[in-house]
Amino acid sequence: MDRENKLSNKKRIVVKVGSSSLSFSNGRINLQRMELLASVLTKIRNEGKNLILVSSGAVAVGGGITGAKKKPGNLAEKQALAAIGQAELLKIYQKFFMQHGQLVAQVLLTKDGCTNPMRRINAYNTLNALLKMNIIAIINENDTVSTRGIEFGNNDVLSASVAELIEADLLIMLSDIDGLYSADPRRVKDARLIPSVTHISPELEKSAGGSENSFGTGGMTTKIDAIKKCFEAGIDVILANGKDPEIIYDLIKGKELGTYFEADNN
Amino acid sequence: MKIVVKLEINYLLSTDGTFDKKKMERLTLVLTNLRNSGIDILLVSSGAIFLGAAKLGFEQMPVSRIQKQAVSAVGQVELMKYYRYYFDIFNQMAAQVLLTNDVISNPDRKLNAKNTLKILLSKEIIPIINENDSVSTDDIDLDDNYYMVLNVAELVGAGLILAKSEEKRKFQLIFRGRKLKNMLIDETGLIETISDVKNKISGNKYLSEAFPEDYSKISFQP
Repeated sequence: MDRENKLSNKKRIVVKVGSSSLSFSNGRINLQRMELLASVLTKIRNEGKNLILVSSGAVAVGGGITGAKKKPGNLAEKQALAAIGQAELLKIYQKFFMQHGQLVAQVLLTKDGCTNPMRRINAYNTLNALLKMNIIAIINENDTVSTRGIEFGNNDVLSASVAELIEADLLIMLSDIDGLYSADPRRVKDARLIPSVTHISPELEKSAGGSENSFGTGGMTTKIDAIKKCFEAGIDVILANGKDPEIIYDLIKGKELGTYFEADNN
Repeated sequence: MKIVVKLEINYLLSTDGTFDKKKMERLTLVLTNLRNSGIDILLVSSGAIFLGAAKLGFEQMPVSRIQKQAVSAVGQVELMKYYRYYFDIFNQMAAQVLLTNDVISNPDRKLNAKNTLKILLSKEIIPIINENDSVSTDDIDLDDNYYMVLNVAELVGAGLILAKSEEKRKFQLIFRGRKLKNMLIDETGLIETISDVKNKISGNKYLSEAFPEDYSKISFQP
């Protein structure tokens, strides 16, 4: 099956938007981009797709409210800004989604929300009920209680856990790079975008890991971890640039954009 | 980079001539996002007389100067109430600054105003500036904040003036000096265009040039 046909069958979709796609280079939140994202997701939901949004941005909003001049340095500072910003982030999302009549819900998860059997069932039931009610759940890591020393502001692995939990057909990861490159495109001139990947080879993992800090804010390593997790569950992943949220329209139509990670067992 | 935004209340009116809150919300969203992108924003806004007349239930806009001044005192509170409400939605702090046009010619006033605005901008606050109609009549006779916009730009050394265009969802970008042509920009492309301009003109001295003595040389038409 070609990409177009395959993607037209995807019904349950998790969209993950990184902080790099939602904020300016100074760390402040980009409201117009959030507004456009809300409009795009509502239209896709109205076409009958089941959608879940995994969104960063709490730290950016928190920084704006407190007037923080620098991006937070230590973990506790980030957690505090996230706690301030999360409430406001959702308030703004709610406003933008409601402009199109779309209801949203906030779901904050920790890693054990997807692994601890009891929590897993609860999270599954909640998300399923929301999907049935045509509500878009907006998920973020529950930064306040996360104690695993996870790097905050990076929801890559969380988005894969959510996709696996709700048995999604597709995970779309939007970041500040166009997709997976053969080499670091900011350093290597003839680095080329890899349009599709069906297998995460040790070489691929190594080349992505070696250019850690230049691939988006989350880095490519955590993205590869997330993709591997999805592959184990037979879920396809698309990695693409989130600077224009309208790219999601093209991605779900199967247009050759970004990098399409095709799980081989489906 | 600093931008003075010139806002006439008629851009915030609906077709039936009443105040359109949705348009103000839109404006505060766009200005907050510009502010978030790292640009200092100073908003020179009219609307006090219009909103004062509406608040007092006037059938027609006041004509005499004294009446305008009194109505403006009522309406300025209304104007700030609305701005505060809508900027709050997007977590943007705003401040009210009322100036008279001698703010440039009087050295004491100039220094005071300059210092106030400098602190506000350094705290990422958007000053909302209007003429202090109770004690001044310069712009009230013109029914336009024309001189105030230029004075504020002079005061803070802003190189660009942004004005709402008559065209829906468009802005006019007016350059200090006369070396670059004014531009008409779409609301969605505003931040990209301005950062583009910022890159092109960095280091170019014309932005620090004073406005021409004859203000009328600056066109507010696209």
